[in-house]
Amino acid sequence: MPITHAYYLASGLWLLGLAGVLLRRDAWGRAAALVVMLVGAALTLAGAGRAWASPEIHGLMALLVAVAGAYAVVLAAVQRGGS
Amino acid sequence: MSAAEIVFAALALLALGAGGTAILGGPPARSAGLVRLALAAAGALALFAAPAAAVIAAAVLGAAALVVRIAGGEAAAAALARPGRGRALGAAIVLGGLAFVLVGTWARQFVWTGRPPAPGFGGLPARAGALGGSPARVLVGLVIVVAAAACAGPPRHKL
Repeated sequence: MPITHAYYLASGLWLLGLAGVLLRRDAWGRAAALVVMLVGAALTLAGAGRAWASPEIHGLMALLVAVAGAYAVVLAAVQRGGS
Repeated sequence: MSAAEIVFAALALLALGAGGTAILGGPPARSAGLVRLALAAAGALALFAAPAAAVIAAAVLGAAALVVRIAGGEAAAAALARPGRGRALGAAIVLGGLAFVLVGTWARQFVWTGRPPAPGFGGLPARAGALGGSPARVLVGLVIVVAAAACAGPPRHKL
Protein backbone atom coordinates (compact mmCIF):
# COMPACT_ATOMS: atom_id res chain seq x y z
CA MET A 1 0.00 0.00 0.00
CA PRO A 2 1.62 3.33 -0.98
CA ILE A 3 2.45 5.67 1.86
CA THR A 4 0.61 8.48 0.09
CA HIS A 5 -2.64 6.94 1.35
CA ALA A 6 -1.64 8.00 4.85
CA TYR A 7 -0.92 11.53 3.66
CA TYR A 8 -4.30 11.74 1.93
CA LEU A 9 -6.12 10.85 5.16
CA ALA A 10 -3.98 13.22 7.20
CA SER A 11 -4.46 16.05 4.71
CA GLY A 12 -8.21 15.45 4.62
CA LEU A 13 -8.50 15.64 8.41
CA TRP A 14 -6.29 18.71 8.58
CA LEU A 15 -8.27 20.55 5.89
CA LEU A 16 -11.55 19.53 7.53
CA GLY A 17 -10.33 20.99 10.81
CA LEU A 18 -9.13 24.16 9.10
CA ALA A 19 -12.51 24.59 7.44
CA GLY A 20 -14.19 24.17 10.83
CA VAL A 21 -11.92 26.77 12.45
CA LEU A 22 -12.60 29.28 9.69
CA LEU A 23 -16.32 28.68 9.22
CA ARG A 24 -17.68 27.85 12.69
CA ARG A 25 -18.75 30.83 14.77
CA ASP A 26 -19.21 29.13 18.14
CA ALA A 27 -16.25 28.34 20.36
CA TRP A 28 -17.15 24.64 20.80
CA GLY A 29 -17.03 23.97 17.07
CA ARG A 30 -13.71 25.78 16.70
CA ALA A 31 -12.24 23.82 19.61
CA ALA A 32 -13.29 20.50 18.08
CA ALA A 33 -11.92 21.64 14.71
CA LEU A 34 -8.56 22.41 16.31
CA VAL A 35 -8.44 18.91 17.81
CA VAL A 36 -9.21 17.39 14.39
CA MET A 37 -6.39 19.47 12.84
CA LEU A 38 -3.92 18.18 15.41
CA VAL A 39 -5.01 14.57 14.82
CA GLY A 40 -4.41 15.10 11.09
CA ALA A 41 -0.93 16.43 11.78
CA ALA A 42 -0.23 13.44 14.06
CA LEU A 43 -1.26 11.00 11.32
CA THR A 44 1.15 12.75 8.93
CA LEU A 45 3.94 12.01 11.39
CA ALA A 46 2.78 8.40 11.73
CA GLY A 47 2.90 7.93 7.95
CA ALA A 48 6.34 9.54 7.78
CA GLY A 49 7.53 7.35 10.64
CA ARG A 50 6.50 4.23 8.74
CA ALA A 51 8.00 5.46 5.45
CA TRP A 52 11.34 6.24 7.09
CA ALA A 53 11.17 3.36 9.64
CA SER A 54 12.09 5.86 12.34
CA PRO A 55 10.78 5.30 15.88
CA GLU A 56 11.80 8.81 16.97
CA ILE A 57 9.04 10.26 14.84
CA HIS A 58 6.57 8.21 16.88
CA GLY A 59 7.76 9.99 20.02
CA LEU A 60 7.05 13.35 18.39
CA MET A 61 3.65 12.06 17.32
CA ALA A 62 2.87 11.04 20.92
CA LEU A 63 3.67 14.60 21.99
CA LEU A 64 1.32 15.98 19.35
CA VAL A 65 -1.50 13.67 20.46
CA ALA A 66 -0.90 14.80 24.05
CA VAL A 67 -1.22 18.42 22.89
CA ALA A 68 -4.49 17.58 21.12
CA GLY A 69 -5.89 15.96 24.26
CA ALA A 70 -4.76 18.84 26.44
CA TYR A 71 -6.34 21.27 23.99
CA ALA A 72 -9.71 19.53 24.24
CA VAL A 73 -9.60 19.34 28.05
CA VAL A 74 -8.60 22.96 28.59
CA LEU A 75 -11.07 24.33 26.06
CA ALA A 76 -13.85 22.22 27.56
CA ALA A 77 -13.02 23.56 31.02
CA VAL A 78 -12.90 27.15 29.74
CA GLN A 79 -16.23 26.75 27.96
CA ARG A 80 -17.83 25.30 31.05
CA GLY A 81 -16.45 28.08 33.24
CA GLY A 82 -17.55 30.76 30.84
CA SER A 83 -21.11 29.46 30.28
CA MET B 1 -7.59 -2.64 -4.80
CA SER B 2 -6.17 -4.88 -2.06
CA ALA B 3 -7.94 -5.85 1.16
CA ALA B 4 -5.62 -3.57 3.10
CA GLU B 5 -6.59 -0.60 0.97
CA ILE B 6 -10.27 -1.39 1.44
CA VAL B 7 -9.84 -1.52 5.22
CA PHE B 8 -7.82 1.69 5.16
CA ALA B 9 -10.47 3.40 3.01
CA ALA B 10 -13.18 2.36 5.48
CA LEU B 11 -11.14 3.72 8.41
CA ALA B 12 -10.46 6.94 6.51
CA LEU B 13 -14.16 7.46 5.78
CA LEU B 14 -14.99 6.77 9.43
CA ALA B 15 -12.34 9.25 10.60
CA LEU B 16 -13.49 11.99 8.23
CA GLY B 17 -17.15 11.44 9.11
CA ALA B 18 -16.37 11.45 12.82
CA GLY B 19 -14.35 14.65 12.43
CA GLY B 20 -17.25 16.31 10.66
CA THR B 21 -19.65 15.17 13.37
CA ALA B 22 -17.38 16.49 16.10
CA ILE B 23 -17.14 19.88 14.39
CA LEU B 24 -20.74 20.33 13.28
CA GLY B 25 -22.71 18.42 15.94
CA GLY B 26 -24.25 19.44 19.27
CA PRO B 27 -22.80 18.47 22.69
CA PRO B 28 -23.68 14.73 22.69
CA ALA B 29 -22.74 14.27 19.03
CA ARG B 30 -19.48 16.15 19.56
CA SER B 31 -18.13 13.72 22.17
CA ALA B 32 -19.39 10.72 20.16
CA GLY B 33 -17.59 12.12 17.11
CA LEU B 34 -14.35 12.44 19.08
CA VAL B 35 -14.67 8.84 20.29
CA ARG B 36 -15.20 7.57 16.74
CA LEU B 37 -12.28 9.72 15.54
CA ALA B 38 -10.12 8.17 18.28
CA LEU B 39 -11.08 4.65 17.20
CA ALA B 40 -10.56 5.37 13.50
CA ALA B 41 -7.18 7.00 14.17
CA ALA B 42 -6.17 4.01 16.31
CA GLY B 43 -7.13 1.64 13.50
CA ALA B 44 -5.18 3.68 10.96
CA LEU B 45 -2.15 3.76 13.26
CA ALA B 46 -2.36 -0.02 13.69
CA LEU B 47 -2.25 -0.29 9.88
CA PHE B 48 0.83 1.97 9.91
CA ALA B 49 2.59 -0.63 12.11
CA ALA B 50 2.46 1.71 15.15
CA PRO B 51 0.40 -0.18 17.77
CA ALA B 52 1.85 1.75 20.71
CA ALA B 53 0.88 5.04 19.07
CA ALA B 54 -2.60 3.63 18.42
CA VAL B 55 -3.12 2.79 22.10
CA ILE B 56 -1.85 6.21 23.21
CA ALA B 57 -3.98 8.09 20.69
CA ALA B 58 -7.11 6.12 21.56
CA ALA B 59 -6.59 6.68 25.31
CA VAL B 60 -5.84 10.40 25.03
CA LEU B 61 -8.60 11.24 22.57
CA GLY B 62 -11.09 9.02 24.41
CA ALA B 63 -10.32 10.81 27.68
CA ALA B 64 -10.69 14.18 25.94
CA ALA B 65 -14.07 13.08 24.55
CA LEU B 66 -15.18 12.09 28.07
CA VAL B 67 -14.19 15.52 29.42
CA VAL B 68 -16.03 17.26 26.58
CA ARG B 69 -19.10 15.14 27.32
CA ILE B 70 -19.07 15.94 31.03
CA ALA B 71 -18.47 19.63 30.37
CA GLY B 72 -21.52 19.60 28.10
CA GLY B 73 -23.88 19.74 31.04
CA GLU B 74 -25.46 17.79 33.89
CA ALA B 75 -27.84 15.86 31.64
CA ALA B 76 -25.00 14.69 29.41
CA ALA B 77 -22.95 13.65 32.44
CA ALA B 78 -25.90 11.80 33.99
CA ALA B 79 -26.47 9.88 30.74
CA LEU B 80 -23.02 8.32 31.20
CA ALA B 81 -24.12 6.59 34.43
CA ARG B 82 -27.21 4.78 33.21
CA PRO B 83 -27.54 1.07 34.22
CA GLY B 84 -25.99 -1.55 31.93
CA ARG B 85 -23.52 0.90 30.44
CA GLY B 86 -20.57 -0.59 32.34
CA ARG B 87 -21.12 -4.08 30.99
CA ALA B 88 -21.56 -2.83 27.44
CA LEU B 89 -18.41 -0.69 27.78
CA GLY B 90 -16.43 -3.69 29.08
CA ALA B 91 -17.59 -5.86 26.19
CA ALA B 92 -16.74 -3.09 23.73
CA ILE B 93 -13.25 -2.77 25.22
CA VAL B 94 -12.62 -6.52 25.00
CA LEU B 95 -13.86 -6.77 21.42
CA GLY B 96 -11.98 -3.62 20.45
CA GLY B 97 -8.76 -4.98 21.96
CA LEU B 98 -9.18 -8.25 20.05
CA ALA B 99 -9.79 -6.38 16.80
CA PHE B 100 -6.77 -4.20 17.53
CA VAL B 101 -4.48 -7.23 18.00
CA LEU B 102 -5.82 -8.92 14.87
CA VAL B 103 -5.46 -5.80 12.69
CA GLY B 104 -1.98 -5.07 14.04
CA THR B 105 -0.83 -8.62 13.33
CA TRP B 106 -2.32 -8.53 9.85
CA ALA B 107 -0.80 -5.11 9.13
CA ARG B 108 2.75 -6.45 9.57
CA GLN B 109 2.23 -8.56 6.44
CA PHE B 110 1.81 -5.47 4.26
CA VAL B 111 4.48 -4.34 1.91
CA TRP B 112 4.75 -0.62 2.35
CA THR B 113 6.77 1.60 0.06
CA GLY B 114 9.58 2.85 2.25
CA ARG B 115 12.43 1.57 4.34
CA PRO B 116 12.06 -1.85 5.98
CA PRO B 117 11.46 -1.36 9.70
CA ALA B 118 13.59 -2.89 12.42
CA PRO B 119 12.17 -5.77 14.48
CA GLY B 120 9.85 -4.47 17.19
CA PHE B 121 9.12 -1.27 15.27
CA GLY B 122 6.07 0.55 16.60
CA GLY B 123 5.81 -1.45 19.81
CA LEU B 124 5.84 -0.10 23.33
CA PRO B 125 9.52 -0.96 24.05
CA ALA B 126 10.62 0.90 20.92
CA ARG B 127 8.39 3.83 21.90
CA ALA B 128 9.85 3.86 25.41
CA GLY B 129 13.34 3.79 23.97
CA ALA B 130 12.56 6.68 21.63
CA LEU B 131 11.12 8.75 24.48
CA GLY B 132 13.95 7.83 26.83
CA GLY B 133 16.46 9.00 24.25
CA SER B 134 14.94 12.47 24.21
CA PRO B 135 14.30 13.70 27.76
CA ALA B 136 13.53 17.19 26.52
CA ARG B 137 10.55 15.88 24.61
CA VAL B 138 9.27 14.02 27.68
CA LEU B 139 9.72 17.17 29.76
CA VAL B 140 7.74 19.26 27.26
CA GLY B 141 4.98 16.66 27.30
CA LEU B 142 4.83 16.71 31.09
CA VAL B 143 4.69 20.51 31.12
CA ILE B 144 1.79 20.44 28.67
CA VAL B 145 -0.14 17.86 30.70
CA VAL B 146 0.43 19.68 34.01
CA ALA B 147 -0.52 23.03 32.46
CA ALA B 148 -3.70 21.49 31.05
CA ALA B 149 -4.60 20.00 34.43
CA ALA B 150 -3.98 23.36 36.12
CA CYS B 151 -6.03 25.28 33.57
CA ALA B 152 -8.89 22.78 33.74
CA GLY B 153 -9.73 23.70 37.33
CA PRO B 154 -12.36 26.21 38.39
CA PRO B 155 -11.48 29.91 38.13
CA ARG B 156 -9.85 31.16 41.31
CA HIS B 157 -10.00 34.89 40.74
CA LYS B 158 -12.62 37.31 39.56
CA LEU B 159 -11.66 40.75 38.40
